Amino acid sequence: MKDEIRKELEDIAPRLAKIQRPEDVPQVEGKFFHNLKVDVLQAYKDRKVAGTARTKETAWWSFLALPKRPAIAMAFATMALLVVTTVLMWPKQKEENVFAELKTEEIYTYIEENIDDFEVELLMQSGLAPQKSLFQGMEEDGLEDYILDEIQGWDEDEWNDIL
Amino acid sequence: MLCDPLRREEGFRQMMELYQEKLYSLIFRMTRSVDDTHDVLQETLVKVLLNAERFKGNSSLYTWVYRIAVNESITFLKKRKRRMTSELEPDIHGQTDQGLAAGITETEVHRVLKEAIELLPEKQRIVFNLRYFEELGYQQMSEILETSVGSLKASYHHAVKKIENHLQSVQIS
Repeated sequence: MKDEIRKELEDIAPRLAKIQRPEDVPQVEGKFFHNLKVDVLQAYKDRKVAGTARTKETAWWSFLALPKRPAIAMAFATMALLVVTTVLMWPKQKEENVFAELKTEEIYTYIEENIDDFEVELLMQSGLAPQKSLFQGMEEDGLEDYILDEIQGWDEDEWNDIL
Repeated sequence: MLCDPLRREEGFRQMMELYQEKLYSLIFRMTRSVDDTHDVLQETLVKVLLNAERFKGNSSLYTWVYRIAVNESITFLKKRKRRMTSELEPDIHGQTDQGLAAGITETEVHRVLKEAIELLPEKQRIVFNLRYFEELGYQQMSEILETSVGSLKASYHHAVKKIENHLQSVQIS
């Protein structure tokens, strides 16, 4: 290689080829390279640690900085709105379905206990009217007393209607 | 060994034994300053360690390390050029006007040669240094500088011609 370079130089630049190549690089002091190795290894370790820490820090800052970006902020707001809406809507849905979980017997029991609050005609139309007689379970004497109380207040027209 | 994290330090010490002086010379010839050479050399070696895992062995370790050193030197020179004000730069052009025709000494010849090298454009100066001083083949230079062999031959030819003309202008024969 050296001969090839020398020949090439002689062909292109005879003056330069005649000049002895200068040894212009200064000599370094005895321990320079030893100290350099120590410094380089220390700098390498420091930078490696700093690089790892910076990577973690960057990841956190990137995460925290996400809401600052308009598109991400909009997505967060939409998600929050959806969550709030769902929470507000949830109890209503439960209320609508409350009778679906009741058994038929429980519904009739409830209606009988609160019969005064219901329109009997509407109950009859909806088929929810109690199938048992309202007088079921009543004693015979009690029934007579009830009838007597009822008919005592009747006028002539009511008697004509029933007879 | 350098690629293995557990043996990297040992590999680094072996690499230093082989290349430390060559790297020092290469960087000094590019920066022409002892202090700057120390800084660039240290940065080069730290980068070698930090990027050791990326060395795939496609080129020789010597070529790979040289490439890092050349790139670091170029980066440093660009920074230094931006930083330097015109009055702090050496008056190279003024010095070349001095006549060295009669009784010229070896030292003076070398000074003129140094001036001529410093007058070269950056790329030509790098190519000249790698070929003339480091005695690298064009193929190896191509791998280091990531430039085609043809382009390198042309750059070297132009650089040598310019230096030859400079030597002729100061009547060194």
